[in-house]
Amino acid sequence: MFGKIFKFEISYWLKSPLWYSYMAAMLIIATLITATAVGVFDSATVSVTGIKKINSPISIAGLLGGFTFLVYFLLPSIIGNSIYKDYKSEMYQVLFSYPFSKTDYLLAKFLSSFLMTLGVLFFAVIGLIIGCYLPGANQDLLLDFELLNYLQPFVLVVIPNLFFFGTIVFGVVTFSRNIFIGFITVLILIVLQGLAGNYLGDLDTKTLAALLDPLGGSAISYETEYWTVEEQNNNFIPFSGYILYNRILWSVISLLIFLGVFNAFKFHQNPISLKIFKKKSKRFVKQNFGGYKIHRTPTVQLDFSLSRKLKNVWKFATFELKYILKNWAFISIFAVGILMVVLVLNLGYQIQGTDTLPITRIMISLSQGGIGLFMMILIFLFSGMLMHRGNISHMDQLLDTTAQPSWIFMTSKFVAILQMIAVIFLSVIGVSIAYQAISGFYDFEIGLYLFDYFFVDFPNWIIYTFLAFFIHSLIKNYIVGFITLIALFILLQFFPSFGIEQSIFNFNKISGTSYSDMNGYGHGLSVFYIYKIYWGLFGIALFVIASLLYQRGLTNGFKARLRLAGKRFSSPRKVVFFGSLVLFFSLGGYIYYIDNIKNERYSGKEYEKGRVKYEKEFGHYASMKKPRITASKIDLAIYPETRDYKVEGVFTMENKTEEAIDSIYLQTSDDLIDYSFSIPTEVSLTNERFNFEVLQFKKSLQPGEKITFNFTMKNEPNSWLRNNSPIQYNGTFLNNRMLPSFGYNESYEHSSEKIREKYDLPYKERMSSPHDSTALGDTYISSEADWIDFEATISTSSEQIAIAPGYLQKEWSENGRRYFHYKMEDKMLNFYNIMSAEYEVVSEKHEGINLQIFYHPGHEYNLERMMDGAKKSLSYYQENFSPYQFRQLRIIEFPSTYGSFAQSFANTVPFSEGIGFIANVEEENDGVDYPFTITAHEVAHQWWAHQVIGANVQGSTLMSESLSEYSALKVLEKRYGETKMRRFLKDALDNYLSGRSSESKREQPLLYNENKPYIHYNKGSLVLYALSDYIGTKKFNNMLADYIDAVGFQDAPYTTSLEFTEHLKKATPDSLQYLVYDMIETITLYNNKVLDYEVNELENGKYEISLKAQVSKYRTTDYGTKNFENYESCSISYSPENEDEETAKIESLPLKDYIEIGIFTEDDEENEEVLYLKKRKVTEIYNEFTIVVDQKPTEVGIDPYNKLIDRNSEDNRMEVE
Amino acid sequence: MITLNLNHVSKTYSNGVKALDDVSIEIQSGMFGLLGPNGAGKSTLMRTIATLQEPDNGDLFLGDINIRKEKMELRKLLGYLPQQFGVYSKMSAEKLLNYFADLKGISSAAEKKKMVEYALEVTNLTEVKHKHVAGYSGGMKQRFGIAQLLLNNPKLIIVDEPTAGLDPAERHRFLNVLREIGTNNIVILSTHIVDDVKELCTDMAILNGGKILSKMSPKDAVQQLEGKIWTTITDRDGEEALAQNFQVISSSFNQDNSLNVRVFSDTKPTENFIAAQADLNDVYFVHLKQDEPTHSVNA
Repeated sequence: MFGKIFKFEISYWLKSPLWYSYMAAMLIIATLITATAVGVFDSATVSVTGIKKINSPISIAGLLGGFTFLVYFLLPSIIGNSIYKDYKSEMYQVLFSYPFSKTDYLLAKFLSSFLMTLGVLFFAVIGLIIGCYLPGANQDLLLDFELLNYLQPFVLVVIPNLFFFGTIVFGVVTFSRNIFIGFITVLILIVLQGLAGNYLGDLDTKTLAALLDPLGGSAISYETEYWTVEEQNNNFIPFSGYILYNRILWSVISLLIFLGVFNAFKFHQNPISLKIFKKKSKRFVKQNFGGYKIHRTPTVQLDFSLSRKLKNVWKFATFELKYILKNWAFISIFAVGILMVVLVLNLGYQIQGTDTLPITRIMISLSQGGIGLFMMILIFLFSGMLMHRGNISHMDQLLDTTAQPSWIFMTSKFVAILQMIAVIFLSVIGVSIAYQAISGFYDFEIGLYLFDYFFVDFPNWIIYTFLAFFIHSLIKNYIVGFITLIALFILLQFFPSFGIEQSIFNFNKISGTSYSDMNGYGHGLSVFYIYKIYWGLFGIALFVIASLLYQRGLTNGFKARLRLAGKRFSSPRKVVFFGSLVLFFSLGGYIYYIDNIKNERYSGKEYEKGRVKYEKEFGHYASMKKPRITASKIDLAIYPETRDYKVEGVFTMENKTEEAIDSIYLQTSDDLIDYSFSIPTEVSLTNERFNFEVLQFKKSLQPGEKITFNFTMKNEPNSWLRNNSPIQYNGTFLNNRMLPSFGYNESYEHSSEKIREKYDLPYKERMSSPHDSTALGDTYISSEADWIDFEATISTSSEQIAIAPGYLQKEWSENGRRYFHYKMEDKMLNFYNIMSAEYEVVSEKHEGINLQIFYHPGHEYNLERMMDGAKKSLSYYQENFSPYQFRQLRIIEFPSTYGSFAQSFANTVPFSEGIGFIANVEEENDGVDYPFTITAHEVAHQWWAHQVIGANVQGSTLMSESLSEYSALKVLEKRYGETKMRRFLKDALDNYLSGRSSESKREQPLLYNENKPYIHYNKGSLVLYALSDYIGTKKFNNMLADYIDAVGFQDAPYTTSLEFTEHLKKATPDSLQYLVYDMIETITLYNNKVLDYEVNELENGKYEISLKAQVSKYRTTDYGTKNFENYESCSISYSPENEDEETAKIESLPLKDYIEIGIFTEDDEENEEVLYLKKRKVTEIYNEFTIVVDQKPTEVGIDPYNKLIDRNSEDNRMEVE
Repeated sequence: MITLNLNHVSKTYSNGVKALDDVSIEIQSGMFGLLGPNGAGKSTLMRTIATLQEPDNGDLFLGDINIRKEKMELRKLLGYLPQQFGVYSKMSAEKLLNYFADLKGISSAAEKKKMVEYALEVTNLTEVKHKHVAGYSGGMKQRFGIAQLLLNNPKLIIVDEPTAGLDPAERHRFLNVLREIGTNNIVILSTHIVDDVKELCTDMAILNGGKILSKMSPKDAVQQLEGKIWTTITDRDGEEALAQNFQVISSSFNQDNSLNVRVFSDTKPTENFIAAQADLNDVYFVHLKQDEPTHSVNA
């Protein structure tokens, strides 16, 4: 019997158009995604490059995992449907009386539908393969075809996951006899799974997450977390460790679920129902057999006037809304959505593991992110359920014969969806405000909540609702309509990858609404509304089509509906339809005209090609000698109300070369309206595409000769649609990059090797080597100047304060505007900022230095921490490095729309409102006082960048970012004590390790770092901290002081990482020289771990610990290949006893290393106390240490503070039981 | 007085079934019975009149209203009860009726209240008006269908197989309600139960294969057959023999396994027959048989 049912089912699906459409959709989506990833659309879009292979097992597992996600939503209609269709067709009453066993029936149903689902995914695999071999696929992104690469993820990920979801859906649909419930179950499961993943993703619970993720994704990422690119490309997914446990665990669980379903299933009539309140059973007796008494029929007035109809729209909308709100599908999705919002709010917006204050702006962005997906699901789903509500409940014939026009039904249903959105918004706002209150934060900005939700977010959803009604009017089955909408939404996200970049072609694209406490919505709001109106008009046209296709009465086939639609196309509808379309196209045309014709616009591809052209045609200008700026004096007027500016400036320039200079390359811009040199010039080349001019000096500029360059700049007027100015309403933050510059712009050249190859550009080092003595003429900050004199007069509106580097000479008011005159008395880099906003100021004096913080009123929360950071770091750096070169330090807040960062200019530190100012530092809850640490880092830049600045070559950020980060760590150490440093070091280590696993090119040693943050911040700080620890902080800092002394404020040639390393080596004893080589000159990683320990209490009350620990280290090449041999090809190895020799063999570079051994105990308050901490010399992989301590230890460790770079930092300590 | 006119109305489904084949009929005020077997095209015809379906050809007029063009005007006057219908779940009869009253254009709250009460009373649903209609038994739901139909005081009432599934008392009550409305309005009642028509209708038509086979008042129809219906008792073999020679309208078993056979004939067929009182059933079967392809008679 099994065979018969199975065969019957398979042939059912093979005849089902639904199955083929799923398959086709999967095939198309998979092909498109793969094709995009391997650069098939490169001819239209920006070239895709990278060093990760698309068809490696790991990548395929990721892609297939994504496709499987889509298929989960299809499960109810495949696996669920296999049994449901017997109920639906009422066949079950007949079927269940047939002589087959439950086993035959259930197994055949499940296995056949499961097989068909796998079939759908099989076509995703086919799509994956096809995508890789389409013409134009970039072979650099591909490995040779290997069937096993596809097979392994399929078996390891797809089959078990589908089995898990399949059994659940099978069970739910079998018992509820409702496909829809199966669908909601899938939805809720996916959301819960995502949430759990989010919550368990923390360091400490990673292993738990790896086990508990039913989809196995967390297990795979846990096992492959720190894989280098080479490993990611070439290794199979390891079928061991947590991946193995996870897959076994969840397969068993799935099997149990299936067995549960099997056991509970009975061939009987009634579905299982859950009744919370069981009603008492009552005998129902029919009464009132009496005859019929004639009543007089009441008379009624029928009113079909327009005003009545409009009233009815609202009335019926409310009626439909009640249906939505009472529908348990709404209730469950809504509940999960609200739960999501609560969790997202609770998770908060963390920076360095530290919470941010629940200010309204943050609450809005978090809660909108949390509810967004649910909102979309509810809109897409309920639009369909309302549209087809009559049909679903079979009441359509009663409704359709009432004398209400279809538009009343359509409009009221549409309004009901909008009401639903409003209900959800109000709930989310309520939850957010409650959350703020519970957190003890009472600065509610109700107006902002309402505005952002109802006037900014709402329009987006209205436009999606139009789309939803349109799609549901085309498709009778609302579930199919829903899935179509989701698929369409996904497809829309791909438009940019196909080369469709402009917002007028990307449906409902959202742009420019980020909100800042300082600057509000800025100028983005007008553009936002223009686009919303634009897409809204399109939406109205869609809605009219939907109303034409609105199902009323019985029409057979789409053709008949189209014919009917033609008849329904009445004049008012024509007016609305064509009216909105005409407006849509006019507005679109206008936007197109403004963006493409009136102003030049380059697509990503054109831009990419332009860069090639620039290099090929003008690259020879790179070698042009140029005079250098020695002084800059600017007069800048800022008009915040209209967001305009005007600047007049004078640069003094000097020929510092030893040759005469006959011409100069000037980078211009549209804003540069006038300029002149103090000596006669002649334009020899003007290029408008790349905005530059080459000017010939009529008389060559002799060595040592000075000239001045005068210029005037002014922005083009801003319009509703276009912003032509960098000025903000409140919170302008400019830097000197907006001013004219000189010389060929080398940074505009392509740096990607692949793109250079593609366009036949010669091979180019991304950065010059520090060994290249000809490359040391420029700092990495500026190629136009060394140190300059600076002076600025800035005017702004009367409410705002304007700030630039230097000391305030004079402040005055004139014509209702405020003027500030700044002058820098010492020399500084050609790198300056100008800011203007309505500020409050807090000032202090510390060690003779004026400290000021300019902040947005209301953002007082962390001023003291920042001030404290500035004071402590100034003290430490002055004491240990060199004197501070200025007598003033200002921290200045700027709007979060510029980003969340802080930056250091001469005596000025711009600091984003997004970080620090609104941090919620709760150190008792493991929060990091990052307002303090970031301040310490930025203040350190006053030394490491503004005193010592490296040449524009590899490795120079070692002397700015790494040393600043090191300095900040030292200030932290001084504040918290050495024993609290593990947290910071471990963070640095983890960030470095995960940074290197997503390295897109090749990893460089610190010495040759090319501006990679994970190297210069994370590795740099860790390594310099470790070196200072090994060498001795005092000695290390003295070395730094000497280094500043040698190279501070120097002129070209500028210092390099090589010179720094020489200083370092001189300060390092011979026995530790290996550290410099390992940490700075090469990429060297340890694998240290505690193997075992034994604790014996001695007779004298002391404790003897014998600690067994493993030490090994290796170097890696650029792409991450491990190398255990030193330059003499020596290596050591160790094989643990009792284990299989080949697999357990541990290799290492030869060791003569000093590794810290630590023994710890806890005091009464569970604070860690050090019992023993010493660096011990290690020459073997396997080591035993015997140590006697005074107290009973609670924890032992090797390199317990994670000072060394170690791929697994978790196994360095072991708790003593 | 208003009349409904159908002129050459045809409808063929995409599967080739001719549901309406050049139907022309005039219907006056009063109860009009539409009689026909399953699949005769009754529902198609009624849905077409009720604006739910477009015919391929033909015109339909209710008085001045061209139904195909002025659907909304017709709907204002229409009360329609389909053969099968569902209702929105989790809603009481009262709430749903209020909703329908809104849909049907009743604007005054007082009038609406009165009308809903009346509809509930007439259909004997007042006691269960707070219960969810979706949970009603078949008969109760059918009565709800009538209740909603009454709300707009319709001039044209179309009820498709309304008595199926009603118990005798309800059927009686229901037919009485219809009779009441039918005095001044057009009520079209489709059924395959001849008794429904017999009891109520002032006029009737027999429909099969999409064609109107006859249209006349039930009284006249029966009268026409008066003296032409004959009956006899025979056995199974005997019946077959009779069918060879005479127009057998119907036959039914007696308890002793003998057969009562009714035959349509202008004269007494054989000595074994006795004259029988003609009834509407005979009318129905006679027309259906006459419409059958000729082989059934004298094959």
